[in-house]
Amino acid sequence: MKRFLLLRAATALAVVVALSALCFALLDLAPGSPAASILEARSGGRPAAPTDVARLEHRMGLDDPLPVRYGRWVSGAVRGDFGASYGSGRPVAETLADTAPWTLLLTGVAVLFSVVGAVGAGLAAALTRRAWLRRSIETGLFALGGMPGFVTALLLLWIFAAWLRWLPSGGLARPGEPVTAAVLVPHLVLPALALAFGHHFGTYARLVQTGVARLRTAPHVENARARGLRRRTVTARHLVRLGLVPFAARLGVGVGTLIAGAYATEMIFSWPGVGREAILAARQQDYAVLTAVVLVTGVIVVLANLLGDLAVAWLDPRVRLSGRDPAAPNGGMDRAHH
Amino acid sequence: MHKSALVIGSVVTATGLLATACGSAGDPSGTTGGTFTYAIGDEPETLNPALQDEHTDPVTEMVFRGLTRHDAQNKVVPGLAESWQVSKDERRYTFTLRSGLTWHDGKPLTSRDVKFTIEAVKAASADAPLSRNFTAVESVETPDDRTATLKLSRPFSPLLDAVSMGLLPEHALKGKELTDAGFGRHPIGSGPFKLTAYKPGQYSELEPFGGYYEGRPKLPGVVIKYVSDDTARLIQLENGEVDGAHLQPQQVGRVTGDDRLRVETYPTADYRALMFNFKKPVFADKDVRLAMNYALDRDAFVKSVLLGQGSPATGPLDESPYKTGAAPFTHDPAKVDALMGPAGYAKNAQGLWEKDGKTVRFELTTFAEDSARVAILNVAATQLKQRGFDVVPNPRPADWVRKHWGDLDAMVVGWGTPYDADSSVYGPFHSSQALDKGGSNYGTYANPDVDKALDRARGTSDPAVRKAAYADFQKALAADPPFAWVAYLLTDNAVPKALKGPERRTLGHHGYGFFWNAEKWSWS
Repeated sequence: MKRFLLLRAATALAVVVALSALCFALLDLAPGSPAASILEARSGGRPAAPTDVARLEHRMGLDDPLPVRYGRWVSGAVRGDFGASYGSGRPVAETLADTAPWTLLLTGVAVLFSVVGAVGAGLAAALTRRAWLRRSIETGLFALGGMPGFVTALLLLWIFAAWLRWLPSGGLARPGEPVTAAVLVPHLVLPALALAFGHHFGTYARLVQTGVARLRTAPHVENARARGLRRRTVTARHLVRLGLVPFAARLGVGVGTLIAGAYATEMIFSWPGVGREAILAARQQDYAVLTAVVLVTGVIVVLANLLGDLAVAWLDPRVRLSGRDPAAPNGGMDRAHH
Repeated sequence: MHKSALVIGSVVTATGLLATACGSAGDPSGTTGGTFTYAIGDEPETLNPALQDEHTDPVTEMVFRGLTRHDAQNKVVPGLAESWQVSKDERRYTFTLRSGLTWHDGKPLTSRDVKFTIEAVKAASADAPLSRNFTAVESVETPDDRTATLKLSRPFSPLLDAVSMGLLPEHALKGKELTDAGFGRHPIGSGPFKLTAYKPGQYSELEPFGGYYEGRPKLPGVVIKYVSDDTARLIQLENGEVDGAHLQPQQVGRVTGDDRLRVETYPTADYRALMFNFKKPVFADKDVRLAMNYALDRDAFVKSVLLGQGSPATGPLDESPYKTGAAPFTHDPAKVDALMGPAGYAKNAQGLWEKDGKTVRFELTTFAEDSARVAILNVAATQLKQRGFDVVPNPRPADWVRKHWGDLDAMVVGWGTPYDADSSVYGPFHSSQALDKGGSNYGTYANPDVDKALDRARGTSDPAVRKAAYADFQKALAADPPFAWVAYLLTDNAVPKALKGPERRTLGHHGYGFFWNAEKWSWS
């Protein structure tokens, strides 16, 4: 287990380093000039004069060769200095400190909703003997699965904010109101639900359902039943625990998509997270902000994968004992040859 | 049965979450008498007025004031300066500040701040697009606290307009870059409202400033909420989370039925047109360009693309006090034929105008990211093709366009500011501003009569001379059009019926400027 953890952590670090270099190079290849974007933004979209663009590029140091710029960036980044936003001049580290916690909170709660909902719906569909219940759950999942995330978000907005008026439609709190837990919770519900149900929720629930249903006739389950164990014990220990492995493995990978989804969700719900900054920075070609955001996102995804692996290891004794890669196809599920 | 227990358990959890959530949510903000909360889509990168080019966002508009300002007709009137004198040779402008002016932090506002602002903006050159307005300023003298004298190297009539830019406090910015991020987020101004909180990505909160020179504004507070999603903004307006909001054209119909709200529809100086690149021989003949101006059905654009929220455009000064209506451009297919025939063109087998084996073939492009412009592009291409012009519609990424201004054939452009005519027309139409010279005349349009008229209008502040000069300019432009004009945009804002004070004025980009007289707003 220790070796497994160390190996995973080392890989994660290497991935983050590679990501920073790749990200820097890709942004450099991207067409267009950040200086032109800034000037256009300042003049309300009016095209900027080429001489002004050239002058500003020089001032921003954008006319230095790529390795020089990357070296400058790395030497800053290791000291926690990611430069300043091209547009607003604000230090990127400050922006990240302001926004990243909100994105983490939103995605964290969304993952929670996603897990609770998917396990609940998946288990209900897998274990029920009532065909109507199983069918209605499956139909619901099918509908959710086919809906793009932003449609789910707008639908939730219309139902709970515009029609029923149960929940506020965006932000952390009402303007001027201090952000306390009691204020934050209602503001968090809609974006978190939108994020949870708009991104792979159907897939997750189906993975739980098929994972568990497939094990109903597995030898070790039949064996446990034959040993006369109580139904409840068989279900909890032998059926559900192992049945969740494919879902847990997929969830770790899915967090990446979830964060991408968080970007759009934050725009719709005026949630002041990293995603909003990323989309605005992409529009403005604010590479200083964008590089840092991509890096932070990368770190979160890597961490989530790590957590997913740990969850699988915890659920599946074979992975824990052998150190096999649980993210491999089938997650070591079917080829139980130990 | 534990299975059912599981199902019920998850349902209960979910409902519980919702129930805790619902306790404190959704009650509409105070309808009247309280803070006015308004939702807008765009959030500025900085609240520094010197870094916003004539499309000042609502917060900056309310926080800052300049030496001059604009009235409902966009005429220059006194702002922080109660009066000014212009020397006979128009190279000396002497401004007298109102007495007792203070900044929001209580410090006195003096002529030194005037000097500081102009010198800082001028020095920022490329960082601040507005620095172009001050290149003619040689020096600023401050004989006493209330007097600032600007010495110019040459007459520059748009100067009174240029100094409407918000004045910056020397004590807060001295020794810092003009682009200082701290000042851009926590600005200190001298306008009618003071910024008390700015939560990036969420909202700005403003309170009336007691030291404002026209007295404390009547609204007890203003909140500008940044809601970038158009639909989310409409929902917030409908369920009362905000009192007012900037609307998209397609949303106006939804709001007009709401008996709490009123829609304020204002004209803007922001027009859309097809720009021709004069480096391409296909546009050499002015009759061809005239014909295209008669081939466009502008009413159809307004109806189908702008959903009624626009008006036909025939020139760059239609929304200016200098408008003469010199260009008679209407949808007139007969006129197209009458112009193209004598110019040597004849319809070929495909119904396209052809001369010496060549059709009037060109690519019409625009920023592919801007869906409204792409819609204009498609309708324009269809209309022109119907009248025999061989147009190839092809939207391209903005980055490509920025690098290929000199290569592209024709482009759907947006231009125009509501302020001094010079800032709207000198850049795009004067030959000294051609693309290759680093200017913003992207089509490299050159017309000696236009140049002469623009120079004449810029070199004097005599209203009669300027009026005559801009009349000549419009006449020359109508005879030899650089663009095919399409439409001016209207801008729509929803406000509560109980809100008094918003006054119609021709606005700029995105309808910025709606809050221009917010100091006079009140609840009825």
